[in-house]
Amino acid sequence: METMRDIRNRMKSVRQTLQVTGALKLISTSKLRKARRRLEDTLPYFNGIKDAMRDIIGHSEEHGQKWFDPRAAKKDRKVATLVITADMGKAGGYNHQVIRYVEESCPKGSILLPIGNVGKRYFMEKDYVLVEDFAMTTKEPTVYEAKEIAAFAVSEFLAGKIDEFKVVYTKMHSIVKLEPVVQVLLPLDAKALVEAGESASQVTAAELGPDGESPYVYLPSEAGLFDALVPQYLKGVVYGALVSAFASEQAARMTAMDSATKNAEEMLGRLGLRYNRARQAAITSEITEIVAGASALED
Amino acid sequence: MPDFSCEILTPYRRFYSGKAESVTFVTHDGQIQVLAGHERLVAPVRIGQLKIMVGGKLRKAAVTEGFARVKEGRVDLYVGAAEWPEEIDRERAEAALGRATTRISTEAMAWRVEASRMAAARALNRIAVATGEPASPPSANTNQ
Repeated sequence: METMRDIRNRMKSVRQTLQVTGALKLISTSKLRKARRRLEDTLPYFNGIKDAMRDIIGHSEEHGQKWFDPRAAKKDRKVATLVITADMGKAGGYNHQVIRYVEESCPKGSILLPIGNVGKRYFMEKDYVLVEDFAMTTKEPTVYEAKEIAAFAVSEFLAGKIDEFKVVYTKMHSIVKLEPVVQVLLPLDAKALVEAGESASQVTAAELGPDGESPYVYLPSEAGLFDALVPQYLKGVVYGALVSAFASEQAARMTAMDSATKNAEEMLGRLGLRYNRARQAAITSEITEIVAGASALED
Repeated sequence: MPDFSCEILTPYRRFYSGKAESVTFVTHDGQIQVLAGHERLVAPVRIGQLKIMVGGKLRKAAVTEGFARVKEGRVDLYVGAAEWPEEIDRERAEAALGRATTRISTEAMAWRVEASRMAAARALNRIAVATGEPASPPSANTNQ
């Protein structure tokens, strides 16, 4: 049988855990509020830029070839994936979901650009080629970081070092519904953009067809336009993915810490009962001993 | 004057959303003014002044790089940043200009010099829009 001291020690440790989870929950709640506001500010741009790109690509007649050429015929195509995870755990299934998604969708030996410590440490041990340039943290995503990533992707793609560039991040449908998604950014592909399309977007797949609408006029020229457009587009989409992942991380952490706090409270309640029972048992046995001792003296 | 719907989006916020009668922005070879009924067009937007005519009133704003899409009845601009003159932090822009100017002369790497030049152009543009003076000297606002 547990002694009172054992239970008291257990309760102490549970109470300490409770403090940690409670504090983390509060932190992530306030961060989530901020991150959601940011996400709401970015979403019109993020979705708009994707819609616009889809629309532009869908209506252009001959594309700026270098951005579209899928190099499908090439053997062992090099696919680079930007993987956005958190810097720390304690976020429920958030990191694990992204990692599992990447393992399922990226063949061994492909190139990964990990963002966030958890993903980086995990994939370091696995059969993936890591590019260390982006050891930046996911703390507060900035447009500047997105710009650097986009510039890197563009230069590697144009140099032929990578044949495909995609990003895996977590999309927040609601606080409780987080889902890892993949978005192919390069080469540009109208079909892939439509498949990845948001349900809320105004552009429908039908609009992409040969609908008799006049094609766009491009300034300065079609090729020149895409040279200017693609880095802007990538920057916007990468930033949107970073912000979305950040908000998802906070939501996941808040939910996880909330249930951890509840569990700890429940456990404290159960331990309290057991503690009282043990205390009573101790008192009872003490009384029994005293009574037994007294009656032994009387005899 | 006939109008069209116009949206100006930045990663930080929806800068403008509503009707407009004309939108003017800077692109590769100078300013473009878009009126209602303009043909479909996609063009890169460069650092410069954005002029938007709403209800007969001309409003100016400072914008950075991005692109514009013009289609039937609507004009959408996707830019890195956009500010009305009253929102511009003049001191911050001037400090940025100072930093960028020193970097242009001290940096060795070409792309860093390039980045500094862009930063200087952004700062100059902000200052020009904030003070309401005509656009900054062409030598500094090359956008090259």
